Amino acid sequence: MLPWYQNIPFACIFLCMISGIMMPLFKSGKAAFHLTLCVSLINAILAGVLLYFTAKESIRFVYVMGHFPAPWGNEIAAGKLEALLALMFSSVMALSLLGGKSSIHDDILEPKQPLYFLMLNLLHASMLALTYTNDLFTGYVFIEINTLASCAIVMARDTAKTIAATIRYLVVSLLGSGLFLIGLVLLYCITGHLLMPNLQEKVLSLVSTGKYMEPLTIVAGLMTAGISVKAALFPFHAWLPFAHGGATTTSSSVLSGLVLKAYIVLLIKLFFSVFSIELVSALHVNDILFVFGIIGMIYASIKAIREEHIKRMLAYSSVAQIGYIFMGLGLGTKVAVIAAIYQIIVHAVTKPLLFASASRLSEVQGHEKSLYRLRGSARTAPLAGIAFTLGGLSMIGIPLLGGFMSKFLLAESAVLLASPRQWAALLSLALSSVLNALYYIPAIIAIWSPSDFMLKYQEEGKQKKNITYSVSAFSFMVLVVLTGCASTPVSEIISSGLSLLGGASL
Amino acid sequence: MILPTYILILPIILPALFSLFLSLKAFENEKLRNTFVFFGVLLNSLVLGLIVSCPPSEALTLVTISQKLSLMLNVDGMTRIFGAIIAILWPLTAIYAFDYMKHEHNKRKFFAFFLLSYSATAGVALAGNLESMYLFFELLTLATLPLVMHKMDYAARFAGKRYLIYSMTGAAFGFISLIFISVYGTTTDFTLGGVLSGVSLTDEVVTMLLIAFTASFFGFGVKAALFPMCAWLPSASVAPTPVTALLHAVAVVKAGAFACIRITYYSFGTQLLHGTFAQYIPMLAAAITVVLGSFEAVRSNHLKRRMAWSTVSNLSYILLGVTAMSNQGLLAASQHMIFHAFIKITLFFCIGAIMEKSHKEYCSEIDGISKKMPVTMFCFTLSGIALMGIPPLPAFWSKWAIGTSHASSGVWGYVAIAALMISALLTAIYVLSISVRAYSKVEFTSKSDVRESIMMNVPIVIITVCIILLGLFGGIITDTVTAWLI
Amino acid sequence: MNNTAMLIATILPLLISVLFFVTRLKKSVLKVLTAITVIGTLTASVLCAVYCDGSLQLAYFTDTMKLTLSFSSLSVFMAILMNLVFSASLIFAFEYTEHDEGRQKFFAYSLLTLSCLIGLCFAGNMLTFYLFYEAMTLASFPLVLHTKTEESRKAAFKYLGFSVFGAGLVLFGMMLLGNGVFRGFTPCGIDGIDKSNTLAYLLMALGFSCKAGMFPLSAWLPTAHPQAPAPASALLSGIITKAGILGIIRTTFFVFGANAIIGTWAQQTMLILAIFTIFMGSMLAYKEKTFKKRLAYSSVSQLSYVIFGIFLLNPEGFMGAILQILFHALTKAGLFLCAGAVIHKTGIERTDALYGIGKKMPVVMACFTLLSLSLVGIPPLGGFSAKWHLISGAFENGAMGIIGIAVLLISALLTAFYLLPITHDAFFAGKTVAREDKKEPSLFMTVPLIVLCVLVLLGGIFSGAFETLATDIAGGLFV
Repeated sequence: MLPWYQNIPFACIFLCMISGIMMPLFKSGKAAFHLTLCVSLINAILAGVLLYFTAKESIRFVYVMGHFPAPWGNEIAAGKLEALLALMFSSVMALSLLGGKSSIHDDILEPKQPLYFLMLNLLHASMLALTYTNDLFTGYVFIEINTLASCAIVMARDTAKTIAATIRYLVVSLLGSGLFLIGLVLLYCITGHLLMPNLQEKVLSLVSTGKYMEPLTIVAGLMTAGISVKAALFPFHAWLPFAHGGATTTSSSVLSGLVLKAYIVLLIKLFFSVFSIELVSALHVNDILFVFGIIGMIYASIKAIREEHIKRMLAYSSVAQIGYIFMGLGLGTKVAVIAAIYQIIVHAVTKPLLFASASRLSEVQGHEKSLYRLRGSARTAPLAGIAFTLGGLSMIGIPLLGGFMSKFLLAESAVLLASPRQWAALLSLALSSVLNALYYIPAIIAIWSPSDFMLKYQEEGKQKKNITYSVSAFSFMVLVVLTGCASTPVSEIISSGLSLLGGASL
Repeated sequence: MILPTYILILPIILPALFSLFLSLKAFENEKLRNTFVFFGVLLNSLVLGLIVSCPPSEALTLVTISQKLSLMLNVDGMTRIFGAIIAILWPLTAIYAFDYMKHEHNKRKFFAFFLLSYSATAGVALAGNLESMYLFFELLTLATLPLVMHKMDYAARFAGKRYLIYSMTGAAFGFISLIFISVYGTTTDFTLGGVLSGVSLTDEVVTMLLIAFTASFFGFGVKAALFPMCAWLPSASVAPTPVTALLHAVAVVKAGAFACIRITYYSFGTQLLHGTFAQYIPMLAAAITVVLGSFEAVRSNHLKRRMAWSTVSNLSYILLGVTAMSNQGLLAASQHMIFHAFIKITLFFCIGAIMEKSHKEYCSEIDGISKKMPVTMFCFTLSGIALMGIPPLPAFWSKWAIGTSHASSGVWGYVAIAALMISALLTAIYVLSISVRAYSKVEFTSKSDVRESIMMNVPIVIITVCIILLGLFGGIITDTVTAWLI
Repeated sequence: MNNTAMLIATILPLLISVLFFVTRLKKSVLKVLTAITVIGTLTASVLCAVYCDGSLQLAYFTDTMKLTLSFSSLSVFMAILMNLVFSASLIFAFEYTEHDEGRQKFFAYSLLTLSCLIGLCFAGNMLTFYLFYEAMTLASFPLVLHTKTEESRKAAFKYLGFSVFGAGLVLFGMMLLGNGVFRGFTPCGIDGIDKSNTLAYLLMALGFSCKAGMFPLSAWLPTAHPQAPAPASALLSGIITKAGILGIIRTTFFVFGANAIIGTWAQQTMLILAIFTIFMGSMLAYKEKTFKKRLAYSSVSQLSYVIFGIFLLNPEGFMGAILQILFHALTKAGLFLCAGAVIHKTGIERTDALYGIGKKMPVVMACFTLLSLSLVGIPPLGGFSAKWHLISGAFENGAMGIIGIAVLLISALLTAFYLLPITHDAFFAGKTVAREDKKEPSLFMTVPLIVLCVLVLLGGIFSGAFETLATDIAGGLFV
């Protein structure tokens, strides 16, 4: 008899899907919002419970879907790492909903709102599925669902710009999917399996014989490339600023904070559960990630400095932060991947905070979007100002905040490498911090400096109370500080969880 | 008397609280506000002074960030020295600032960040390990940035931007030391002699550590205006003079030198560094800065910029002491830190008084001003002579100590000493040329009524007297410093 | 108790100068106070000779760094000499500054300089010496600046620059030796310092030689000395330069000890430089047409006689050096005062315009002539015995010595050529002048001049006494 908690992964996914299907029945956005929020919260709690149990027992279980055993059936696998990530996805989803509630009502047409929430639920489901799946083809299916749903939530805000951005996003994303699919098919041809444990066994035995090295390299390359394209690795990032910048707040938060990360989670599972991290290094796949990660870090920050539109600036910042993650993956050691996952979590709690705060600041100042016109808005909405400042400082890397910890872990893993590559990593981290400071600090100064725009909107701005935002902001801030100060439990979970992912080594 | 360890958090929290209060409540009455600020500063100085004289025996760990990292406060010899300097000088600057800022705008914002900077600087002094110092170092940059940009005109913004870029870059490179120490060292806590001595290191690793040290030295050295990153300091002189005086002559730049001392003697350890390129490259950079700073000071006609370049030069005197990489060097560096702080703050105060009262900014415009401002010019000249290193005024002792610590450093040591001598010559020129102009027979003309004010003169005279006393009792200072450090 | 005379000699001028700085006094009060001070200091110095022995600690900084004054025949000799010249110059200055509004500051800085100089003479260790040396530069800097013209400003900064640079070289050398260099002066060298560090020695010697106007650091002297008012030029050339010489003596004999330096490349270098300067100074003096500048170049040359004598590193040469110090101080001061009198009364500054000046100011020019003869080295005037001992000391030295003698003789010739024509022009040219048109300056100016001349004359006639003094000083230095 299965322990009851082993049902949680499937239950969560299923719950999201059901609630999504129910959306068209709703006439008003309000009810749809509340249902989605409830579902997210329940999922978060369930993920927390799962985390507790898997951490306590330190196991990773496999949950068979359907009645066909391996290697023909479908499986879900969950250990503490997956539980932790699921917790992250669900809770950030919930908080992003709260934070962007007022914007949803402003940006999306009333009749369309239930459909928007449908897409959000599907997105939630697919992210969880990508986290839990033990089957590569299922992974592909949910990648596609993820893509379509995320395009939809961008497009929900009905302007010409966002539609154009969506189309761009769609095209690039599908390109990525295509590459992934080709790689997947090739892998299936070579190994004959789709379930991850079986795949790993087969792959490793192939490697030991020395045959099929080129095809394996190509497979690894294609699948990595495919995911990287979707995850906005340089140079495939161009769609992101406009898509994230133009979307409604919840969408921006969810896209930046979660969607991109879901793909990377699958990539990590690919590296650990299908190939092995040593094999990946041996095939030099990670070198490409390293180089482009670094370039992305620097290039995106430079573009962010020039950007006047606050949400686009934050979007470019996201590209830079994703670059950190890829750099970590590119270093190719387990310690580095732990650091990368830590960065995933930190960014997931920081970026939605920033987006929500930017939106709130904009709300109290006549919906202006440019930094110049947002000057002084923090004085009308102090909580948003403080939240934005905290998020910015975390991005710059002030100790006691999450961003510092993830930078530290990345740098540490680079130094432990003890090879020339570490200098490239360290230098780019240093440079990137400086560049980050160069756009966040002027932004922070701007929102706190009194100006005429502030005076113009101050009266009505002070009237606009936003409880949901306050709750969301407060929770995010707590999370940012927690990830900064209490990193040990989290990194331990990641570390041991990661060990459970991999099977035999080379 | 044994002090409880939690007292260590007070010098950081107190000014922050006062600052918060000040930013939330608008004081209508200016005198009341000034009293409030002064009370806060004085109280904090007293607490800090108490900590410096009777340090608690244990460290205070505030937050354990991770297995290796924690936010910790502790008092050792360097803390006491730096703490003593800021505790004495901050209240005097406050008094001076009240008068100086009379005609400026946005005083509330100014004093709020003034207090916050005190908080951050105290944090740097009290930090017991590398990551805590790094945190307060970053916070110091952020707290002082609005002060630099206070005037909010084009020049101020430009200076602020430059300050930000330089400081952040410096801190980013300083971060590298944190990484390496946490990976290879036994602990990130500050221990005299370094934390790498018991560890067995391969040659490759040693080279990496040396490179990391050099990078971090230059990183923290940015705040100490080490060549080639010295340009930010003169541009920052567009800030109001109390800011320039305290922060850029005392707090911010000394924090940079302080950080360099910490990583050299208390983290990496001189055993590892002595005799390697990691010693000679920073030493050479410091020597270049010593000469370059003095040279640019001679060339600058603007009074405050001249003093700013003088600071650039003198900070590298401290760094020369640091790069001697011996106990003697540490003592010498600490001595100069103390003496220069007092001397430079007086010089800036005098310049500020001149600029504020007469609205003249350039050396060529102050002919004959000594008749209108006799006390100020006398103190300026005396402090200037002290800066030149004339015994028995204090800077002679520190310069002597720095020079002798390099006598055994071989050829590069000679370069260092030669740099000191050239700088002494240039210092004589740039200081005395101001005095000569001020004392010239020409009648000083200006549109406004030029008169000295008590509020400005009192701090100036007090610190000048301190300088003389420091010089005469230089021996006692040296002994105390030695006892504290070793 | 006995040693307080040294302290009084040092402090008295300082206190009076502070008084002059903070108050405004009437002309007559000023003069009286100044006169009392200089006579008082002179008396105190003389009393030192009688009563003092041993040393007096002024301040304690650390174990190795103390400020002390200590008595020795060398120090009291220098102190009395400086006092004599000071007294003459300052009394001369009474009339010279008759119409000068800034006279109070002038006397204040002069007395401050005197204080520093006495302290320097009596200094018991290198720290005290260096302290007073630097202080003296700062105190005399405003003297050069006194006329506040553009040229005087440039000259003052040149003086400052060179002096600080020279002091910097000294400091460099001292730093190489470490804390031990600050122990008390010991006739055959201080124990515990690295006496074989010739580089350190050379740096210190060269550093001090800057003040003494030796090539290559002499360029300030011809610019600064003429710019200062004549009494100040007398002081600068006459005694402030001797501070540099004293520094060299202290370094060579009392820090390192003669034995450490004999035969080293440092000694050779200094000899060569000194010889070159002797020649160069005289040549440039000969070609120079500005009166005070000619005298300044003359100083450059004459001072290097002293340096030459020192670096022969034998008792004879040292005696010659001491005698040269004595007579050059008196003579050069006197010459500058004469020049000052001429400029003050007639405004003439060039040596080719002095026709008939002797007829207008016979006393002044007579003194000038006597002093010139001493400088050239004509017996029985003092300058002769100095040069005699220098030459005999040089004989003992070998090749360098012979070259030195040759240069000395050439220089003597040149000296005659640049000084005696002035006398000739003064007395044997130009129209006779009626009594009413005589522009003789007042007694305040002439008496000091006469006193100096008398001293030079007596010094020459009774040179035996001074030779004994010099031998006494040299005793214990050459074992």
